[in-house]
Amino acid sequence: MTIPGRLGPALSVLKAERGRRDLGGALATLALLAAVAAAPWLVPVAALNDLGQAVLLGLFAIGFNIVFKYSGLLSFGHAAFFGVAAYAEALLLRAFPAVPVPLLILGAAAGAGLLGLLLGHVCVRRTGAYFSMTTLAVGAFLYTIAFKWHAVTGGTDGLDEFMPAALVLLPGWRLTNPSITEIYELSAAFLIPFTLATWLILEHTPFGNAVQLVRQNEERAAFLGYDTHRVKLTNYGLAAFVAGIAGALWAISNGFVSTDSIDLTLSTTVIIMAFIGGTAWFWGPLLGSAIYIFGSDRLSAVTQHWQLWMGLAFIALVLAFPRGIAGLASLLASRLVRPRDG
Amino acid sequence: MVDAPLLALHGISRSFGAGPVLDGLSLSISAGERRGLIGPNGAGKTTLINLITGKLRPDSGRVLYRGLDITDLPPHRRARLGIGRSFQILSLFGEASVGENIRGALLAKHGIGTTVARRLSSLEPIFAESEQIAALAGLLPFLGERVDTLPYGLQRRLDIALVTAQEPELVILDEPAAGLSAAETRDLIDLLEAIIRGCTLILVEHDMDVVYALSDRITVLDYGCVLTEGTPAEVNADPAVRRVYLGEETG
Repeated sequence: MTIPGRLGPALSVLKAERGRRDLGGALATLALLAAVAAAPWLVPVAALNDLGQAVLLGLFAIGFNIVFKYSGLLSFGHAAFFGVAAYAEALLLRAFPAVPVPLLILGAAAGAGLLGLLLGHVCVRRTGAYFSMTTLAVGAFLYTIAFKWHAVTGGTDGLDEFMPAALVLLPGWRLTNPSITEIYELSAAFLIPFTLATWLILEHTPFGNAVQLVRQNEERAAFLGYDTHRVKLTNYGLAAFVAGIAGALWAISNGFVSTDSIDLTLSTTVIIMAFIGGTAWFWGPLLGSAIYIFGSDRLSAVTQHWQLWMGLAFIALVLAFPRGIAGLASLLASRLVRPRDG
Repeated sequence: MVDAPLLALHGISRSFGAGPVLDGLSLSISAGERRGLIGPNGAGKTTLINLITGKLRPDSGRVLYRGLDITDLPPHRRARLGIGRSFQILSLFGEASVGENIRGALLAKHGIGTTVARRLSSLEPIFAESEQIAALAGLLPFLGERVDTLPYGLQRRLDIALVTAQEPELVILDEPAAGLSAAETRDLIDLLEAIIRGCTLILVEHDMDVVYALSDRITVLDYGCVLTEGTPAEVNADPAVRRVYLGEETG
């Protein structure tokens, strides 16, 4: 088929419209990532610890949402990948304290990603509630291993004292007794490039397009020539890898790994975070995790029944704004922009 | 030299629950042929299409395409070999725009459907090609519209446009005129005439005007077997066909 060099008028309209939407999303993305990067200068040191936790759980929640938003599959066991990478990171640090820590983080995350590809072979063949139940079973299974396999995971005691006295960042660049700020910066240095790359892949490449086509209509995608199982599986592996980066950094930032990093409570907490922030936007879960962490911090200072109030607030939020805080923000933004457009 | 058929089915049987839907069916279609497939409801037409395109596997028998045994290949592999199909019950990407639907088909055809090495917005030739196909299908004004907001007749056209974008060698249309008005059906025949030029066609359709307009041979199925096969005129004159299908002498 011959291809003309000129684009027709209808297409220009389409592209302009898309361009405006893309621009809004790109600006919000840059603002959010700039805030993550600049936090050590903007936030008092006392809050930086909480923020570091929020950023890592936010990265984990983004990983969860890669499967939920793009493949339309609700995982009830995503902590499996976060937790496996956290344990792996602790064990790797203990075994290879002289190896640069970015390599260990990538290794632990790659392990989680491979585990995702392996388990995904079973999980992503199912849809709807059956997918959710399979991930729940896998999550429970891995939790049980962590709980029972005392020799490796420390069981209920968990793993501690795996942090070397000096963290090797690069050969010749060591952090001795890293401060909260330095740990935060290490987390941000991983979060920013990896989430940005994942966002570009899912929103702006044919692969991301394929994942979304498969979510909308798997059968038609297959008859157009897409290997739909492989598309879903690859996306699941990517989601496990992203959760794995978060888990590996979690081990470093806490200096301690226990079954709390792999249990089903964490799998559900991450769902709540994603929904608070808004699952329709790639970055929504990061926002949601910050709101969750700071909200529960404030609430627990006021009342010991903070989980009850948190739960009620979550129900109210989901009923009032099903698209989360990000959905609310984009609604407000479009209301502000439209009068000037018209 | 005798041409090998493009598609050959050998002794295909397939059952659902109680009885066989296809019972030892054999069929052969040469390159360039336009074959109409008719038969009463439950004759096994859609099952046959699903067996050719890979949605179903036969209980026994083989499916050969260009001499290659594709009986056990999944649908996406058959699509890549050049088999494209439309759907009796519309099967589109409802949340995406018309342009995005066509682009999805084109990306797969060009073998870059799942790459991460290109930016979508940099694929200008794909945009231009989607525009051409949309123009051919009369969908150009709706390029940016969300598919599930379009009227049914236009969604039918998009279904055909996706098959066009695939540029298949073998086009299989499963009741393309289902649910269309008489006027829409006439437009559809013109569109189909344009896009199947140079392709091999298998057409399942209840509207006999469409079948007569597009096919040069017709196979009549009944109870999972081939009842008869011939030119439209021969089939039209066959008393057995008139009895079981065209509705004569049945009261």
